[in-house]
Amino acid sequence: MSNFLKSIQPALNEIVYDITGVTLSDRFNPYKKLFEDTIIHRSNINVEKSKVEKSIQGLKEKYIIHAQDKKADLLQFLIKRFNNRPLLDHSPESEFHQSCIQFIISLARKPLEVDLDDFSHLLYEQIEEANFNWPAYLLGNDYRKPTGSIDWHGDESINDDEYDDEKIDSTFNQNDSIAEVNFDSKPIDDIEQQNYSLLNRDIITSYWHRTLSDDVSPSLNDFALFWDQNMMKTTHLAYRVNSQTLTEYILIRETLWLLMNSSQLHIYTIDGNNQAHIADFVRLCDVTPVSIQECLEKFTRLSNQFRLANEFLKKINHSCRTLSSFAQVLQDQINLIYLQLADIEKRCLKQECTYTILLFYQELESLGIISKGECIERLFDQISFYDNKLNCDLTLELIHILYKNLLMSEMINNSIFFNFLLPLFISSCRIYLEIIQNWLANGIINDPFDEFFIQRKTDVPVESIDFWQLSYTEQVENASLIPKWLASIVPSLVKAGKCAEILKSNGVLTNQKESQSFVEEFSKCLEENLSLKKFTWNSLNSLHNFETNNIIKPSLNPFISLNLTFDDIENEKNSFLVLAFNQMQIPKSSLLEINRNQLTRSSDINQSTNIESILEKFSEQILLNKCNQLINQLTDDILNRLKYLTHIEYIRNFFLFENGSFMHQFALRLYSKLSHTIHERLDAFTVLVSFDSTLTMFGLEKMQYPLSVIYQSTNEPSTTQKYIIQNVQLKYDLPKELFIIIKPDHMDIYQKCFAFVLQVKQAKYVLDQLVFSEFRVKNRVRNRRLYRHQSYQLHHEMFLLRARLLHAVNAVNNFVLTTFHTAGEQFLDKHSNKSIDIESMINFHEKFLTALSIGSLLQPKQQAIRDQLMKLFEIVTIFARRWQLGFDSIKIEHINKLQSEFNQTKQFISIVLKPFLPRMIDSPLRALACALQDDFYSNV
Amino acid sequence: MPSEIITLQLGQCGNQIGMEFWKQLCAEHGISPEGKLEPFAREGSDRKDVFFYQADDQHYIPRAVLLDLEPRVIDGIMKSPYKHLYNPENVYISKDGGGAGNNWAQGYHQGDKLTEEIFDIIDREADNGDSLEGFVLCHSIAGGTGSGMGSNILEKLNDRFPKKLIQTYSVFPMTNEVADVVVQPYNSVLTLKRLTENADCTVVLDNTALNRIATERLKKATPTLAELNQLVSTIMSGSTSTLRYPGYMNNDLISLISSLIPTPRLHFLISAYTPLTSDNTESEVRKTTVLDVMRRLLQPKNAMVTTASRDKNLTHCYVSILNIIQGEVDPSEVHKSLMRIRERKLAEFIPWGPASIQVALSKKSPYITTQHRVSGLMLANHTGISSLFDRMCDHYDKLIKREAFIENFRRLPMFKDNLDEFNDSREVVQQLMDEYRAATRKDYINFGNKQAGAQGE
Repeated sequence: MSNFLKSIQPALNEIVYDITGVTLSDRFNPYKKLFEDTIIHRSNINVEKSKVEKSIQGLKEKYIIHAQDKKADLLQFLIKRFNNRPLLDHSPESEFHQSCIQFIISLARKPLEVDLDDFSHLLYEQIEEANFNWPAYLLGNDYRKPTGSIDWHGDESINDDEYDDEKIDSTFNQNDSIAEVNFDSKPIDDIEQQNYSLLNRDIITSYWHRTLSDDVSPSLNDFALFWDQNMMKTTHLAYRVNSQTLTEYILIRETLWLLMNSSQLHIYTIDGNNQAHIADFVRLCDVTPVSIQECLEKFTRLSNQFRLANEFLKKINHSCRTLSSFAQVLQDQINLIYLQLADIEKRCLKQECTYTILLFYQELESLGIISKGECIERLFDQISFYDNKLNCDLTLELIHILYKNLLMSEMINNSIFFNFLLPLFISSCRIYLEIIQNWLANGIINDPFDEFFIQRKTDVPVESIDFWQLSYTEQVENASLIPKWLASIVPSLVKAGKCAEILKSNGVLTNQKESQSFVEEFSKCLEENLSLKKFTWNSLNSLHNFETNNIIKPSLNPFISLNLTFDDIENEKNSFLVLAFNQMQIPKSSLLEINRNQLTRSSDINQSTNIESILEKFSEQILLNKCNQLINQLTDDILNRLKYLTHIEYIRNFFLFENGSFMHQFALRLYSKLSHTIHERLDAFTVLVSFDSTLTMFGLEKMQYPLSVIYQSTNEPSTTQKYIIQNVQLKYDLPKELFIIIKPDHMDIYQKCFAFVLQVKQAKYVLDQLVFSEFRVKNRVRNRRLYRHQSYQLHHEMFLLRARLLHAVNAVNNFVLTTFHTAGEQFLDKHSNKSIDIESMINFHEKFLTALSIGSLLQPKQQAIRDQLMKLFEIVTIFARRWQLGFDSIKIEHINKLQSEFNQTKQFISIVLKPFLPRMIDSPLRALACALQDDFYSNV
Repeated sequence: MPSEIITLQLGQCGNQIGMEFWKQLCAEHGISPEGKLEPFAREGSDRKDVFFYQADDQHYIPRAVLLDLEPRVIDGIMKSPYKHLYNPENVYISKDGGGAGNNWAQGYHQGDKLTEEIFDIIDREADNGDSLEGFVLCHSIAGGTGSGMGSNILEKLNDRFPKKLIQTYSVFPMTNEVADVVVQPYNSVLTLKRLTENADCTVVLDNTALNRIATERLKKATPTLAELNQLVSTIMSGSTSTLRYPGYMNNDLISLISSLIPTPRLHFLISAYTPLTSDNTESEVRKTTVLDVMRRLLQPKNAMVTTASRDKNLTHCYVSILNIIQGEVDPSEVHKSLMRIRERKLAEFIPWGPASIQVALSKKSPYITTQHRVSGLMLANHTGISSLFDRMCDHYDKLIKREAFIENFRRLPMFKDNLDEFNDSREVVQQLMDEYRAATRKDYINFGNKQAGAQGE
């Protein structure tokens, strides 16, 4: 061997290795199929172009020294093309590659004897190729042959070395013009690059589909042929590549191919007629030892498990964000597995590491891939994504199952399961968390896919009176699916959500977007406690946009923080594995290290902090805290900004006469007007004037006073309530924001209470006015006459009736006002409690109103009492009229009639109230019943 | 402003208790002795305008008329820190300054003579308000000015303000020991007639009982007049507290009184207050609840009138009771307490009419700290008050039998010709006592008829 040969042979070997991954040795026989297969697998390998380039450059110089420039140029050209061509079986390309490799090998072996003629046809093809519509061809579309013919390819037939060399040389020289150079370099470098990059794994697979009528891997095809030829004869495969059994080598690669493609597993045998038959992978290998069979079975399962995940990822229609998020992380996980598999494949091809099936299995196991596969299977067993479920149910079910499995894996201390599931779990929860966060921060549930288990009823606006009761509904079929840690705070959450909405509509919701992100807190919380790596998240919006546009992007993979930055993620055409390999050249060793480290490190999950308690802690500390913050904010807003209690105080003062001053005076004016105008009723004018003059009397500004008064005149003459004040209504301007607690129909109750008190007070007033001025005005003389008068009996009867009426009216008055007052005081008492929130405020107010309606006898059961009381008031009014008209005009019959009416009324009320008397419970009605008894204190 | 009440202070006793009353009111409303509102009292929701009005310089001026026939007591007031409180126009001291000499007739006669000047003041004061509710008269019935001039003014008030309430706080003289004024029984009976016929409501303050309370309750060996007056002012401020601290009930005087007084003449009220404290002594009462307070109020030893529970084969009873409870009270406690009182039969009521214990809840002044959570005032119409009149009449009868000390009366126009007025008054008081006694019986309703029938015979 000459020195020249010695000097270039290693370089050429290196080039071959670099572009094919196959080490050339003297014994090496470039079996065509094997080459092809190798080359196709090469697509998984990153050819280190720069390195090849360098080698070529070095080689070229050596050739030039030896006056072999043309060969050097051709070599460079071919290799460049080699690198840029897609590798396809049964296509001219493979022929090209084959030839190319052979050229290199022959160059390497006999550099000086290579006949360039044998390779000259390569130059033709390259021209056609340059215009060939690869994508259309590969995708099965119509493709047309290039129409343009290229001039310099016309002349050919170079026969001898020198001529050939010169010819090529001259060709190159001839085409020295700029256009030609462009033509020459551009199609090869750019167009082919473009074509190549179109060819991702899927396309190749589809190509295989077409050519072999079904899915079959190249290595299997190869293997099948090989099997056909050899295996039948001998059970032991003697052919060895670097002492590795070819069968195992092929099996492993086949497995890898399967796993990475996650296609359904089909095993083919190819019979003597070159027909492919589906065969059983395991049976095929039944000659192999049991342990290997088992491994193969497991591989089969694993492949099917990955297929499940892949099918899901393919079919998932991104109907909701949680599923998308889940799918995304699942994709990432699968990608990680592929990455690991690819690494194994790379090493396998490079023969850096010699795997046997068992070793390979162990490798898979140590990487956790087997467990992950089981995990996937388990998940997809438990949940069906394809039923017509509501998004919220599906989402909840997903979270529930993930959580369940997470807990289980924690329980059995399976760190691989745990680490696999945790990101899935987190990513599935994150949409909920983001919805919650958004809800609490902005007061709206941003849930376009209806995946959240709480739903806003759109027909109940925030101003609606039923807002608090009806606005949000839990829309789950099975509430037990809500994970425990979340379920425990759901009531607070709903409350806080409503608060947020109210606060927003009140315009005081402070947007604390920047303050804390639940998702971040959530992952931080888990990360701290479980010593995981930091998670990063896409913002909800970008995810949202991505879904609404319904573009399935390649996995933006911010999740797993392997130092893998996929710079080129925008390029859809980049297949993952190409990218992975591009990146792996440098960190390939560290990748596995990282993964292993991760596994070993997290295998010591701190048992003292289990996930359940962490999550509970999270929901309590972060979510509940935020909820409470909001609830308190609303409470604060209602109490301090809207001055709820002040309004209640006003309402109590005005409607319930709690403030004796103003309302008392106003009522007195009305009463005195009524008693002046005996035959006339109140009218709107009188009421307004009375109100205004009361305001003036108290020095109050009419415009600023929160109260106004309306008189509703009714045309309907009601004889029963002829003398009784009615139709006076108060109008109190309550801020709209408080309608959440004090609804407009509540104001009606207040109004009714007011009307009732007004009537009771009127009765008391007219009786109080019956002083005995009659007996002192014309004192001595008059008095004496009176006492000697025949009607003295009458007077005493009247005094007695007055006393009894007064007693009854006082009892009613006390009952009504004490009930109001007690209810009011209790109401205020409850509000002095620190832990008050909007819900309890609503409740307390409802209770308050109930007490009031009991006090003003508004309850339906009390209607009879109320009617009788009205009658009583009427008697009072008539009696007072008679009294004021003068004693002389009164006849005993009148008094007797009134008396008997009064007795009837009182008897009726007593009978109705009788059931309350013996009761031990302290009811205001009992107090009324007692007070109405004449002989209460003597009759025990 | 609303429901104003004008206070008339007559004579030595009237002006002294009036003075104490205003002191108390000023303290409760946060008004300084000069009439200025204390800085801490500006936000109050109390109603100062019932008893005060505001001068042009926003000073608070009591709606009070101070009348006396001798200058001593009013001069004392005018030298006290409260000298700037009153409207000087409302202070009237008789020009001759000789006083009534403990003579009812003298007081009455002077009152007649001074009617113009006195009613100038009263009319002006009455016109000053938007809706005058009535008058409160403070006086004693034993002296000359308070009883005599008081009687005169009562009659005139009746004529001039027929529709206005007239309430009196009348101090009754000691009956268990020798009177310091010998004609005190005459004065009392003559005044009592006017109180019966011209007042709507008389709160009887029995000096005997006040002394007893001061010695027994406050542990004073010899209670001073000031201490007794303090007791009176406590009663007065307590009974007006519902007017001054507006609440959900009983916002005017009339509503307090109307239920207490079933018939025109039975309007003499006894009062009681608990727990009583004075500045120097520690209170015996440690814990106060509504029931405790109500129960103590029913005990005779706390009543400001000494009454007999039985006399002349009668068991005296309550006609009506009004309890004004001050302090932090849960209204539900009130009902429970009433039930207890009923179960224990702590109070005996009239058999002829509805028995009622009215309870008015009132706020306490925020500016005065008291030792007790709850305090209570009782105003009650009790038939036993007739025993007090009875004792007075006893003394009177003994004196009139001998026409003792009658000369001073004869000198004045009313008694110049005859002593009919004495007899007439005695008859009215007798009727009053009879009516009270009749009220203890079931047939009280026929009382007038019998009377009429008896008189007809």
